[in-house]
Amino acid sequence: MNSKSFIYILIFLVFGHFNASSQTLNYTSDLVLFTDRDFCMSGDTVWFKVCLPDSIQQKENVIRVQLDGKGNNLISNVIKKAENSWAEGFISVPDSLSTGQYFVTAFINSQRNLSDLTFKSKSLLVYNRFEERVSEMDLLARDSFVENIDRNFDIKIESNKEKYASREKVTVNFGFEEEINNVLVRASIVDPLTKEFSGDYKFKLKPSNNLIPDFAEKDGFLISGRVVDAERIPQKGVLVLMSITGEPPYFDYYLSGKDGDFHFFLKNAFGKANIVIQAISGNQNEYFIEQEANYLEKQCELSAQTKILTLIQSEFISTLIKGNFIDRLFRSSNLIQTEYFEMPPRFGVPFYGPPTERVLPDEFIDLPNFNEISKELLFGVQYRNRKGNITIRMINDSQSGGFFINEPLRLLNGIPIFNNSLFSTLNSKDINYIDIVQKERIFGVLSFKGILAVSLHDKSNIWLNQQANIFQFKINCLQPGTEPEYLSVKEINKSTLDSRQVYYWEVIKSDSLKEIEFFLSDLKGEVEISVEGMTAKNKMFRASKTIEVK
Amino acid sequence: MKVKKTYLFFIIAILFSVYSNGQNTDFYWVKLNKNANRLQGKLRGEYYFNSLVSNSYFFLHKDWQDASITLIDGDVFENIKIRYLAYGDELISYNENIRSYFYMIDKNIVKEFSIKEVLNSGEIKEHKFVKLYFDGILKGDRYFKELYSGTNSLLLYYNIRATKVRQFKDKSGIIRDTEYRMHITYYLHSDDKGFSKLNKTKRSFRRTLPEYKKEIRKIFRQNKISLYDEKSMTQAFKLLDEAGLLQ
Repeated sequence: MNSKSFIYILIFLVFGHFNASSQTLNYTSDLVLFTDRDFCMSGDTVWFKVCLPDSIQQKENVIRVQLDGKGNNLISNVIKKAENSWAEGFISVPDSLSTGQYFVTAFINSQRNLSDLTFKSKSLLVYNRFEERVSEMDLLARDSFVENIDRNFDIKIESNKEKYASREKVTVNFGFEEEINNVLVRASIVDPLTKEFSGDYKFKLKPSNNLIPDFAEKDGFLISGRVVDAERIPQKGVLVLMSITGEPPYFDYYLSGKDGDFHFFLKNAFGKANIVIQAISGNQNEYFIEQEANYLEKQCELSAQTKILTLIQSEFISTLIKGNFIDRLFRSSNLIQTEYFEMPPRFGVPFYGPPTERVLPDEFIDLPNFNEISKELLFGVQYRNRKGNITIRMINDSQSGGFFINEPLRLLNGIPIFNNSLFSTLNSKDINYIDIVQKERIFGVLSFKGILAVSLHDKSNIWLNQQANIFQFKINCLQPGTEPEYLSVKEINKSTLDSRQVYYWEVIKSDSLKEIEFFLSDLKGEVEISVEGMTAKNKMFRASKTIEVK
Repeated sequence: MKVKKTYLFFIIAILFSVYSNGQNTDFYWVKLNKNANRLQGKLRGEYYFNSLVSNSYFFLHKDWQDASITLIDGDVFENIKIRYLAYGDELISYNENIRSYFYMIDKNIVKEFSIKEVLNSGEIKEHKFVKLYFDGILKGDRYFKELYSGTNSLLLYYNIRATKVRQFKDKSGIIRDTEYRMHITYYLHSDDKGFSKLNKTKRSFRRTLPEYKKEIRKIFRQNKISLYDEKSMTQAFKLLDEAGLLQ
């Protein structure tokens, strides 16, 4: 071998070594996702827990969890903030979702633009609740299945009996030999079909939209979208304003990028928010706002094989469907509030600073329109209506007696408006308060020549419908903290059907884990009690025990 | 000619109508660029008029300093150009992308700020200022320079005050009757006891901590402490803290 070949081999080896190292340090493997079930009915709620290492949590603590199919069809996604290394939430499975195999994946936003996006996704078999009988199903080939869990881990799981009657109380004792960090205990009915196909599947994924930045989401989340014109051509350099009506109102801006993209970061916003986005330009162009979903999609379509179900598998599914039907007839409560929204203000004062004066029209005689209100109550505000052309000017506090040449920033329920005629019909009874700021205010690099902020009693913002370039969206923010109903179940009313499939699902510290108790439901078959988690050496393990319900 | 005039009038009328129908935002954003798209949040404040007098006499720093500002919600802004306005206790920032260039950062959102000073030796010295509620005379939030932070803190308050003097000609030849003088006040601060004023004398330390008169005298004598500047005050404070006299 000559020296040249030797050098080439050396370079190749060194390169290969670095390549291998980068794979072992793969960021994507740091999140560990657990779901409370491996199968469900359409319309059900699947609960998840994601374990986030402390090293990541310091800079990023918001997890995105998505449910998708074998193709690139996103079905549902949620954003959840982790606390004490765990993000716990739920994904709603649509009522109309067809029977098939689906996947739950968890990721953090800073991962989205990594070159290697190899993720582990949890398989979820969904049975459509309107089907009468399921006899075959398209299931993914087992070659992408991941088995990297130590199943021979030394844990003693002892139940007080081996065979139980339905609704009986089960007591389980545990014993650990090795030091363990986190333990997730689950007790659930075993689906004969899921038994073969549950677990983690490895997929190569790619970001749904490359324009979304890989911004580390700490305590908040990104909202992304595009500004387009009537022909859906992206518009760059357009000022996009985002507002949320509230006390105090929220405001932010973004200058659209070359592909018309814009992004906002909402901190500590939980629930469902009504956000108002408007595109501003110096000309008369009409713009449209398109929201962009932030998720990962599979790099290639997955090949599935049709599996003919056995009689036992098919009958189990039929029992579930029937049980689900009866359960829905009698179950009325839904713990999840759909209209909940909470976003604590970042600072004690509104974004426009402390007002020079706050006027409460309720404290004065009723005035019929804004012209009268400005004349009688708003000192230093000049409201002029000349042949329908309304102008508003604000006195400048820092110049003795002078008015700003430009109009102030006008806000209606915290939303910037540029059409003064919206004020004209407002009377005293409509208005909660009026904030006046008679100074030049700076927000980022925007400057406002005074502020006139009118807060109405009616926060529905119906007037937005008639305005051009202003769009209102309802967006899902961080999912509020809640826990599955079945965790609070101690004893079920015996006159109603109990079709719970999961009986116990909780993270417990290993040192306090000695004994657990739960009640079985009316479902019969095998119940698996599993213990999953990580050892002190960060090694995944799983152990389980099966009991029988007759 | 008449036809030409009609056309000209028509064109002007169209242009005028386009101009008047255009979306008039009435706030300035011509210099807005992608660098201003800070996702975590934006700094806010109000316009500051930096007159010749204020530029010459009102600031602690003669030039704009690179600072990092931490807001009360934990958001940190790096490399912000600031000068501390000791005449009025405010933080003034310079941003060339704002039409007015200068603005006063809202005090109610600031938690602390740090200025990095490059010494002649090339070393970088960090000066940390914290915002605290002062409960003495002229109550309110104030920026204090934190000289030492241990069991208790040693704080310094810069304050430029206007003093009427006999008429004099300044450097530009303008006759003035006001001088702007810097007043420096040291404070011992603890979360539970609040502020205690300290002078640059050993006696002041003994008066502030009367139960340790002997120990203070001994420590100062052993370490040959003479109090004349920030450095010596910090050194003295540190020695007292290490000896457990500040608990």
